[in-house]
Amino acid sequence: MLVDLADFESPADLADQNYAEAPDQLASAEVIVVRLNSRPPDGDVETWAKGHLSPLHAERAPRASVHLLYLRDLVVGLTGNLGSAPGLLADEDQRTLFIDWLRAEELREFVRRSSAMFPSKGNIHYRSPSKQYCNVFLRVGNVQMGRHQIDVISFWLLPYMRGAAALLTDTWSISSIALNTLRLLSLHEPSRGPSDFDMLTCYQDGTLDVSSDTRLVLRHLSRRGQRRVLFVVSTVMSGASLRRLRADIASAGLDQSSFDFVSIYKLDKGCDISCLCDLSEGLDGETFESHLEPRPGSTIVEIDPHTYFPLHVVEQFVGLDKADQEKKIGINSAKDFVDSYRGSSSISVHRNATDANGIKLRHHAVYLDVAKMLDVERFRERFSRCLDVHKAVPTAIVIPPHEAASHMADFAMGHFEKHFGSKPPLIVHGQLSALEESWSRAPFEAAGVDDFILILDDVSTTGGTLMAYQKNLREIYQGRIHYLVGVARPPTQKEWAIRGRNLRYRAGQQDRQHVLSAIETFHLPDWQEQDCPWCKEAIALEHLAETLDLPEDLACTISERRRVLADSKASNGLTENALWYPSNGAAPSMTQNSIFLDHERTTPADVLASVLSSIQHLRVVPSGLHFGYPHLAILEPTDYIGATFTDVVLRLALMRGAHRRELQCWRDESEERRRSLVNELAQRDSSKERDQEALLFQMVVEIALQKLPAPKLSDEQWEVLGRSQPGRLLQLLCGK
Amino acid sequence: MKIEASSKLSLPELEAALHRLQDAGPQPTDIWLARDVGTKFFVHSRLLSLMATASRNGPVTIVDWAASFPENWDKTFPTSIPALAALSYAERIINAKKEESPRSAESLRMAIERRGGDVLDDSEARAQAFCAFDAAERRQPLALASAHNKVHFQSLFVKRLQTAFNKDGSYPDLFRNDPELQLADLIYELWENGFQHGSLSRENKPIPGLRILYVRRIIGESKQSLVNRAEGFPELKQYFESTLRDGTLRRLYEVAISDQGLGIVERFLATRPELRDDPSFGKTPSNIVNTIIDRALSSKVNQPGSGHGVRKALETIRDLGGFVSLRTGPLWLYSSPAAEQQGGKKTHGFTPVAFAGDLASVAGTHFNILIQAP
Repeated sequence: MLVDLADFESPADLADQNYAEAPDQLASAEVIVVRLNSRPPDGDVETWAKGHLSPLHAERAPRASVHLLYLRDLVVGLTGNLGSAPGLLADEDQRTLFIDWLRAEELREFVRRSSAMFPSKGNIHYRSPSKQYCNVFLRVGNVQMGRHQIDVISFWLLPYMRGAAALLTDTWSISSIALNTLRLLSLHEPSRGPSDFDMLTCYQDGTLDVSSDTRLVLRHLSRRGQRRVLFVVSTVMSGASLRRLRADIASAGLDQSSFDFVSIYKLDKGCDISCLCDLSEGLDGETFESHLEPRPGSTIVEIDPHTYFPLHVVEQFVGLDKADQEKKIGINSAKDFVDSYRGSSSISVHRNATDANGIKLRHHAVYLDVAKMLDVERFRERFSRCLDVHKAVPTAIVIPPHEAASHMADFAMGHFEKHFGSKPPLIVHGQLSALEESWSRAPFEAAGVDDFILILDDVSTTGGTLMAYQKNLREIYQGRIHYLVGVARPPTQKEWAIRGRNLRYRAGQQDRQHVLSAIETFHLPDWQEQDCPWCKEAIALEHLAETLDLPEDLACTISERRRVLADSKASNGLTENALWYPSNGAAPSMTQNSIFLDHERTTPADVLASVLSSIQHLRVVPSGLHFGYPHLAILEPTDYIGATFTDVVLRLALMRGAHRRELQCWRDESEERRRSLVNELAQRDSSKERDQEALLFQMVVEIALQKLPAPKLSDEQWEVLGRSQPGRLLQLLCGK
Repeated sequence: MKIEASSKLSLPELEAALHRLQDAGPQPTDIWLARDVGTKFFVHSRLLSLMATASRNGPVTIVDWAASFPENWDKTFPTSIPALAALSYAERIINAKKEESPRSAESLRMAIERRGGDVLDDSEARAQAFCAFDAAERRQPLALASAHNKVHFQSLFVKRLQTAFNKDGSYPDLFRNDPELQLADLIYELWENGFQHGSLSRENKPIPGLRILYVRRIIGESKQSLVNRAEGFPELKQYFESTLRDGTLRRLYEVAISDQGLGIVERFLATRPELRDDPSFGKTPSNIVNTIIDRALSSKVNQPGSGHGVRKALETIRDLGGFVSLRTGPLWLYSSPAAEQQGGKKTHGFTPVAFAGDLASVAGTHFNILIQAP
């Protein structure tokens, strides 16, 4: 875990903040690196760090080895372990290798989390400024999503500024990084005089006018060769542009040795230049190789040599069409799961998970209650089958302190008693941490390699609980572990496979690895408060209540819905009232023959779970949703505001389950098409159309959240719309 | 049983009334409530705990001391902590002539909830209260309900307070400087703690009743006036005596955070029974409170790193030179810069208040905090 300590916050504040935002991550971290962005105080850094970072270690992350990452005399340093937990980076060589790994990994992560990598999507080929064709293009300027990324890259660049008096970049798009590097340089070396900075205006293609401009910049910045210049290149591929630049240096009459070169990202092995992050092997299966000719029949997207932006964007629409085999898999899998548990109250939305004492652990946009699922025959049958693989009673059953896990333990105990005449001991503990004394280590320490324990968890979302067990048991237990999960709900199958690989690993026992199995698997996005559509609805309604001049009845209606949202979160979540509908009406409901689920005994929460899972599948498949500049693949508007699905509840679920960026069009004409669909939908007759008022209520929320465009209607049309309560609310929201 | 809450009410009188309640056992209680219960520190909060405790004995009737309800009674009544407590705990609200109040407590509660659970009290100094009427479900005031972390809470809370306190434009810099923002942070910790721990029974079911967060700004009062308002609480008097220079104090914040739960010790032992016989706890309940806070023991099961929030909040108050009164279960404790230097030895944590009589066990946990703004 890598965290940044800004100059305006204390280590204790930082630890609190990390704990509030990611308690699981903090609890399971083995190494915590705290980066000091400001200049460390004079004297021994390690002694200073021990005094100042102890709160972080001792209180919030008692099991991690803690290190300070810092710059001293423009050299990156990493202290030894500052805490009392066993350290993993004991010797200096290890730490040096770790620093290199950390830098590269951090910069890789910036690419993953930003829109810097224009992806290989469909049949698109990018024509780069070097006039070569590539499947994937990296625009480094796009990694600068905020101050954090700029500070981090500057931190890693600073060591290259030793001895340099000026900094030159190959493009304006990374000039913020360069200017920030000079700002940090003045903080770290206040006695230094001011450093100069400039940038090249265009890709170095060797043309005469470009070379002439470049020579001018080189002469000016190096003071005719009197001072050293660091040239920061955003990316380097074949090195052709660098060769041209060296030629320009020579032709400007300057000494090559006055220039140092560093590339932020290196995309090809062929070029011998220092870099912060080597991507020559590609990233996550994508490679950056280029060709002189485009692929036959491909769509060419030209990259501008001045701005490195694509000169046009590609916008596509993805329909939830069951005829498409790729999409069918996700829809069918969601249908199979939800159909088996609909009506059992197992599925709710917008609910906090709590521990055995009713204390909040985390929030779930979709909550799966395994205690309720245990009442369903299919679950019990599958559970029994998972337990049938064991031909003996386990050494122990371990469960986290949740009500649902405790029900699972009862079931498993019953199973073992029925088949073997005895019950294993039950250990209820969330972590099995060696630091706590509230559980007995004896049965684990006494177990041999052929013994096994059964770890039961009701739901596995991130895998944090199971990983914590694994980590803590590694130290005291040599037997086999069967991790059995009630419902595995990873966002993708790939993530579940990785989790499985990590949890199954058992050193020295290749033939008898640990076992990970799940009674049910249901793919869902891992949404906490920041992403939960109902938390967003609450914020939207709070905003409307504060900003609109609402008449008493509308204020009351909004307040009632806000109260439902606030109360459900800390209790049983939303089921029938998962969607906003008039208090004197019925919840939006399904009719028969839906591709998502059957209609009988179905609550809106069941529908939402099925639809959210289907949308999640679309985020993963190659022909699915995609938000990556310059290619956009968004949900087909007719699926949620058109006539594809006749049940209003499905349209509402699709609107609710998709991100704003998965609905909003980039092109004006596409957005106008959405607006005209919204216009039509808003004008449907509430007295004749089923669930029309629920649809209008949700339109209010989604327009406030900018997921839908506001309708444009004539005065007469607004007047008709305003006859219903949600219609009036929509009027007020749209300033009518 | 009849209890009179007049405008001259003091904390010792209220403690005596609480004790009478405890001795009396199950029976109905009539509480005669003055329109203005005076300006003595923490009396409002103690009235809340009195009503909550009385409601566990039997039905509570609040008698408005005046002979009749004025026309705008329902607008002016629910703007103070005792009145909000009356709405939550009283079975009936009547006047001295035994006439029923013009609007039911339930309709007034609903009106407050609809407004977001925030109540502006203009009766004396400007004050803002956020209240949650817990029922079958634990509630958050709508005004603060969307906050899911400290930063978000801080922004919502500060925005509300700025709107409330700056209407006259006199303090545009309110909640802009660090100590005041720290105040918002510590309020979050204590309020969230009340929601997580102070609203659940031994069986982890919601306990119906009122949780309240109250902030009052006190401006331009003389030292003598503050000392007078601390009457009946010698430790608080001593705090003012030792921390205020003569003359006028620029700004003081009074914060009250109350819940209706089991009390710190009882709730903790209900959730962590394995620690009931832990010898390191010490023998007295006040030692247990200090141990829970100092050792960051938490009701959160097996969650490493938890339990530090309240301790850090109390440390912040100490750093800001603030005063804390804590009433929970049978305990009345305080923490003050003056108490930290006893016998030349610096002590942290809570010290029992030197109260002459016996203390009754009250419903809930009640933090009362005073912080002087720079």
